[in-house]
Amino acid sequence: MDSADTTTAAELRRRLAEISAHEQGDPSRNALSRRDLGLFTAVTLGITLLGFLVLAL
Amino acid sequence: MSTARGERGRPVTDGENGGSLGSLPLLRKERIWNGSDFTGVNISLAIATWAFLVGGSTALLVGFQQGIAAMVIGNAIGLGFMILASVVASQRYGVEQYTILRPVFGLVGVGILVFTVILITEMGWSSLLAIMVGRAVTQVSNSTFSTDFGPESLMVTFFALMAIAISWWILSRGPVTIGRFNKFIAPGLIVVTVFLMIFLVLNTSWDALLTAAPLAPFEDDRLNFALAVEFNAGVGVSWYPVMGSLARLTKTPRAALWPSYGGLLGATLIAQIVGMAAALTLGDSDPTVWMLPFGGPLLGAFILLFIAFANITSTSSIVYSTVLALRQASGNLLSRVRWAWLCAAFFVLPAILAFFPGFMYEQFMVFVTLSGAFLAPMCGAIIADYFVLRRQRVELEHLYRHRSDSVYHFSGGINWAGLGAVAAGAVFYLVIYNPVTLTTLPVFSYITASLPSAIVGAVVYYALARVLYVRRGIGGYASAAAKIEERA
Repeated sequence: MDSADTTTAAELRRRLAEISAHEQGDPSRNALSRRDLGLFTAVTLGITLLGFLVLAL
Repeated sequence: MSTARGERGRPVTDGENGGSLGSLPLLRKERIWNGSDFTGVNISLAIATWAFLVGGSTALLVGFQQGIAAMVIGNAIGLGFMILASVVASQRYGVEQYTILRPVFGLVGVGILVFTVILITEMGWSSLLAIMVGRAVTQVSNSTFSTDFGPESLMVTFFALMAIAISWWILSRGPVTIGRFNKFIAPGLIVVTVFLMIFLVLNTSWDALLTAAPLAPFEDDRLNFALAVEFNAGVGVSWYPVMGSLARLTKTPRAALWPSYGGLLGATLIAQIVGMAAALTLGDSDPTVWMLPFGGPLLGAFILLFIAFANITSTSSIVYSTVLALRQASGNLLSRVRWAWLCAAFFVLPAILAFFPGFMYEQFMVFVTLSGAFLAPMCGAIIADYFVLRRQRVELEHLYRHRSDSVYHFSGGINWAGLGAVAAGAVFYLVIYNPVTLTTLPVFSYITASLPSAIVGAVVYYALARVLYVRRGIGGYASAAAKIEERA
């Protein structure tokens, strides 16, 4: 485990075990969905275009 | 799993260990923020005095309309790829952001980046905020006691050093104390922003703002606009060192992604635009100069003192996450150094820089863009690693294993694809735009530098990682792919 931590290796093992046993498939551990990723990219591009629109007005 | 080195069982106080949750993965019950909580956190972060400073500095290059466009474009792009790189993986695994970087750069590689790019970036910001405190307090002194301290006088340095000392004191008390101060600083800064808006409406007209000339532009209008966009993109990317460690406290990927983008972008734009309008109205880019003309001697002095205090707590906040990162990245090296001493060591360079207040203000844009030259390709490499090569899967346990026990050990603890990508992206950046010499290639006026260098970082990382590691089964890339196939 990370030597910089002030907690113990046992604490890390306990956490990994709990995550493995109880948190697999939990919404907090979901990957970012393709839909959200696509939407995020589209929103970023949209706001960027809005900036160019401000420039053009 | 390897056993812990430097393992200690005794309880520690808040200030002693930085009061952090360390680098250990958070459990479901420890993730306390939903989307609305995290939006508030991001707004509090973004409504800070540095936003006024960025707005004022943008006014040096472009007028009001072009400035708004540059801020929208620059921040949208810079925040866009910074958030994908910093927030998403830390949220999913509940892991502190420099620990989750180990698959991209290796344990030693992360240490190299933290002790160079991240450290210098945050030292620069804290020095600048401290000098701003010095300028604010001397303005109050000049107004109240009829003193005549100039913006580069020794008294500015004196109060900047005082600010650093107070920041250190707050920081050494740990995050609970920082949080206590921030609870009323953020709402106070929202009030200051509204105050500036009201005084701008009362003291200037829409026409005057739209026709106001930039304060110190170059001859080429297109270049001025590109520089303003690049500066704002650099500001967006400069949020990188703090975002991941905050996002791991959120409950879902959506609660991390959208509030960080919306909160930072919205609040930053409002504060920056107000700052730019104030600078164009008063003809000065320094926020500490605006308050007395707008608010009068009493209210203006009060706001200046509030800004001074807000800067001190902002400094504590950003330095907290950086010192924590230094400790995590150093392995055994700094694990036994007391928290207060570590914080004191961080402030040595900012304290030296406080003796050059004029230089720091003049070089503000250079410093922001230069740090962006390294942070942007870092983000590009992280995105290529996490989204493309690993398909959002990391071996949680291996993040904490040592040496060859970990699949993320690579060679000597360094993922050369990661460091190579940062080097290539930074060189590309500095070739098309060198913020120190201000030399640019013609293409810079069309594509700027941050986004292209992030793309270069991503492409170089992808190519090097495939050649050096993926094909040879090193680095845990294959296991990530196998698990995806298994699930399919």
